[in-house]
Order: sequence, then structure tokens, then C-alpha cells
Amino acid sequence: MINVALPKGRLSDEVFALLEKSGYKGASLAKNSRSLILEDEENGIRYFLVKPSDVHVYVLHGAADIGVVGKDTLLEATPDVYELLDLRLGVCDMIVAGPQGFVDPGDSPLRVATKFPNIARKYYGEKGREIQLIALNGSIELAPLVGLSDVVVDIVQTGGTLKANNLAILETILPISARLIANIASYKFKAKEIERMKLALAGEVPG
Amino acid sequence: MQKPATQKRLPAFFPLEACVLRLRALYESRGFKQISPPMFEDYSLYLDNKNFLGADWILTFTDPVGRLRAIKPDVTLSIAKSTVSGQLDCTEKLYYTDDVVRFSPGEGCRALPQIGLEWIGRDDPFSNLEVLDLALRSLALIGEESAVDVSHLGFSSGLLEDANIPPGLERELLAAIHDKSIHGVAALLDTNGIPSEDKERILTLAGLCGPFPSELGRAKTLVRGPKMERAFEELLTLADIVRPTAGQAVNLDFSVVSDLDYYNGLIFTGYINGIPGVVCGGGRYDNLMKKLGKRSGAIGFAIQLHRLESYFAKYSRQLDVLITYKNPCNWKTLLELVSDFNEQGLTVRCESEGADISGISYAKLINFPEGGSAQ
Repeated sequence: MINVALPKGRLSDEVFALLEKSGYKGASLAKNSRSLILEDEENGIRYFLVKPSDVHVYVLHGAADIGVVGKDTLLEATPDVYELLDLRLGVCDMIVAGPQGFVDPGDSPLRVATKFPNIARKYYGEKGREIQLIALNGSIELAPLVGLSDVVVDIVQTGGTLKANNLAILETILPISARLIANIASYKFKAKEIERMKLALAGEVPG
Repeated sequence: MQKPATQKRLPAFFPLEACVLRLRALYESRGFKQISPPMFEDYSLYLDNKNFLGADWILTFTDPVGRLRAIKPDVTLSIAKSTVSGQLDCTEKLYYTDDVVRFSPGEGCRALPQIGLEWIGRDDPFSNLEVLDLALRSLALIGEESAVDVSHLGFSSGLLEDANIPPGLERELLAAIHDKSIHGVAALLDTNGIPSEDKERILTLAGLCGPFPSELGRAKTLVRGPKMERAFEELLTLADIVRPTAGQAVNLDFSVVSDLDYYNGLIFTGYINGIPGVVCGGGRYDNLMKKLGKRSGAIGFAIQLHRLESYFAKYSRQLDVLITYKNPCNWKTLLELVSDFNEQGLTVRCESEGADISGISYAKLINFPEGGSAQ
């Protein structure tokens, strides 16, 4: 039996659909179920549905053997887990956004609002630009509009929210998508089951 | 004269304590000498070797004479620093049980107990063999099912050097190989325009993972140049001689990597089924010794005892015999009964009749003087 932590919410439908295509009971199990634990007895899989930003925690501590998590979360939390596969789901970009036409004056620390302080710190650290980090938990786009920050570092899928708030993408930091991760010790003792699922998913990953 | 019962067998220590004693006995049986590294070091030792630690936070304080000191976050650095600079006449074989202090914003300040050993001396093939053998035996003493991943940094770095990978990209590639992120390795190679032949070899290296002797066959196809040849020969020697115990798997896995500024040669990590992280990590750190101005080479490993705490918590600390006695009773006979059980190597606890024994775990209950067994 392997335990799989999956993100609740938007991404879970896509992940369950991919599992179903790969020969596992995915969408059919999740349909009309409100349970947080789902079991595919035939394939020896138990799914846990957890908050997307907690998936890596379940995997790191071995409560789940494998999980599906966004690359943004992996870069932010840097858990010591294996990143086995790019599932190419939930594709978006980590970007810097600010008011239309914003030019960094460079004469004082750049005020950066973000949910991803470690990613922002690393990005600007590599550029040698001093910043003042403003850590927020949501509605990041609001920060430059009300003068809380100069720019934001955030993930963007279509850019619709930015456009609606007169913000523009200033820089693209890196592409983001969902990844299949594994606990490093589980991989030693359940390698066959984990590799079987990885290969099955790899065969159905969107092109 | 009668021997005390404790000499007949180990009493019911906490399982983790008993495990540490067994590990110490193993290291003593190979002539390793126990040492007690200092609690504090100059902060500069850790600042200069921050990448060796792999830790961002070091707890510091200023001592009464104004020196910036640190509470040690690592033992190996202290041992390496205190080694004589010249060539050693005889190998130093040392082991320790000690706490290192680490800080993280999430968990705060923690003292993490470790047991580890260091083999310091001339470049000697037996050092790799003996240290890896001791790591395997250590894991077998801890858990019934264990796994060890073996790698060789001379092999990995030799391949990357052969492909003319620049140092910055080398670091990124090793990080992606460590994560078993084949897609990440491929993306880095594509972004940096690495030729397809080199790309294929690096991707093969990143994907190599399997039983030690058989996977070496695949590794052999990658060998090119004297550095890789030497590394392959070292791995071949280990594969020929090192034997896992029952319930133990030894794999060749190049995702085991470490900072090349400090480590070189053989490197390995060990796991116990039921413990979610790395239990044992070690390898050759001749480069660290050179950096510290030492002429000797070194190899060692450490076992993270804090990771074993919850693993051993499942074993209850049970008494063999609980005796409830009437008050008064024949005290002499009672004491003789207790001594008899001890002579058999059993643990015994006496409580007067009527005491609340609900919180005591025992295998057998005896009511004294009747001697009736309640289980």
C-alpha cells in the first residue's frame, strides 16, 4: 500500500483525471466524495486530500510516500524530497508585476510584496538588488495599488487579475507546474510501487 | 562471590539507550576510541565552512574576552580541526556520542543527538571498506530492514568535468540529480546548450539507481578518463567485498551528492524502514582536511539519533516480573525471590499490596507470599 498526498481544490480535478487515464482509480473515486481519505484497493493506493501548501509536509515526514505539489511550493519550502516527475498540470509563471510602465528607480530598497519570500529573496539576491520584503497571505495585487509595495512577486496563469487591476508583468522568474514528489526513505522501501505509478503517469502527462 | 545481575545481561534500558550501547560496542570492537568534542568553537570555523554544514543558522555568543564563539552545529569539523597538521604516524580511529545544536525558523533551537565515527589517516583503501562495513552493521543494529545508497563523487564529478560543465552549472546539476529530477537535469542541459552525447551520459548518471553489483555494469559504460576509472575501481572493490546483512539492501545511487569543495570519493546514506528521513550519512572528506591545512585524509559517518526516537517509542519498556507483597511479610524470602529472578536475568519490581499498579507494564504478576500468578 502506498499513501499519496494530493492537493485539494483546483488542481485535484486535473490530478484525478490524470490518475484515471494512467490506470488508477482517480476521478471515479473522487466523484461525489467528501472524504479526505480515498482508497483504491485494487491498486493498493490510499489518497489523502490536503491543503496544497501542506502536501510536501505530509511527504517529508513520511505520512505520505508520494504527493503532488506545485513547483512554487517546492522552491519556497525546499523540502528534502525527490522530485520525480513534471506533471505539466497547473501550468503558470512566477513573475514580478507592478504598475503599468513601472521603472525601478534603484535609489532605495525595492519594496516587494509576496507570498513567496524565499523565492523573492533568492531572485533579487542573485540580481544584487536590495529589497524590503512585505510578506502577505493573499490579494497580493492590492499591495502596489495602495502604496504598500512597489512590485509583487506572485504566480500568474492568464494575467487577467493583473490586467483588471492595471498591473503588468515586468519580469518572468520561472515557469511553474505540478510535480510528483516522493519521500526519500519511502523510495528505498517502496521503489517498485512508486516507480510503477511514476511511469504510468509519465505516459499520460500532457505534451 | 555472586556476580551482580546486571553483569549477566543488559537491563531494560530505553531501547534508544540500548541501541547506542550496542553501536558503541561495535565501534569499540574495531578499536575506535571514544572522544568528547568541545561544546564551543570559534565562529570563524563554521563561517569559513558554511557549505560543509548545510545549515544557514549558527548560534553564536561573545565570550568574556570578546571572541565570537558558536555552539557547535557539527562534530566532524571540530575533529578535523583538532587533527595534527602533519602526516599521522598511525590512523586515528575515533567515535563520539554528542549533541549538535541547530536552529531553524520553523522549529527553533534544537539539540540533536548523534553518534558517529571518523577514520583519519593515510590514503588507504581499507578505510572505505571498514567505514562502509561499520555503517551497514550499525544500521542492522538499529532496524530489521535497512537500505544504503552508495555513490562516488569522483565518478560524478569526473563525468561532469569530462563534459566541460562549468562550476556554477555543476552545482545546479548535482542539486537536480540529488532530487532525482531527471526533467530538471534535462532542462538545465538544454538551457545551457550541452551537446547531445554529453547530455545522454549525464542523464544516464542521474537515472542510475539499483542493486550495487548489477548497477555497476551500467555505470561502467559511462567511464571515461583516469578520474572516473579510479572511482569505478574503488566502487568495484567495495561491491566485491561489502556484504549486506539479512534484511539489508545496498544500492548504487548517484543521487547521493555532497559539496565537492569538502567531500570527494565514496559517499553514502542509510535508511531504516519506518523512519522517514536519512538516518546515517557519511563519506570521504579529504578536501575538507586539505582546506584546513591537514595532510591526512578522512572518512566517517554520523547517525542521527533524534530520528530514531519516534521509531523506538513503539517499544514499551516492560518489566519482566511485578511482585506485590503483603505488609508485613517474610522480607528475607521476598528479597531472595527478587534475587533469584535477577539471577535469571529478569527485571523485577516490588510494590506493596494495594498500591496503584495500573501504570506499570509487566509480563508477569506475582502475589507474595502466596506466589500466585495473576497472568
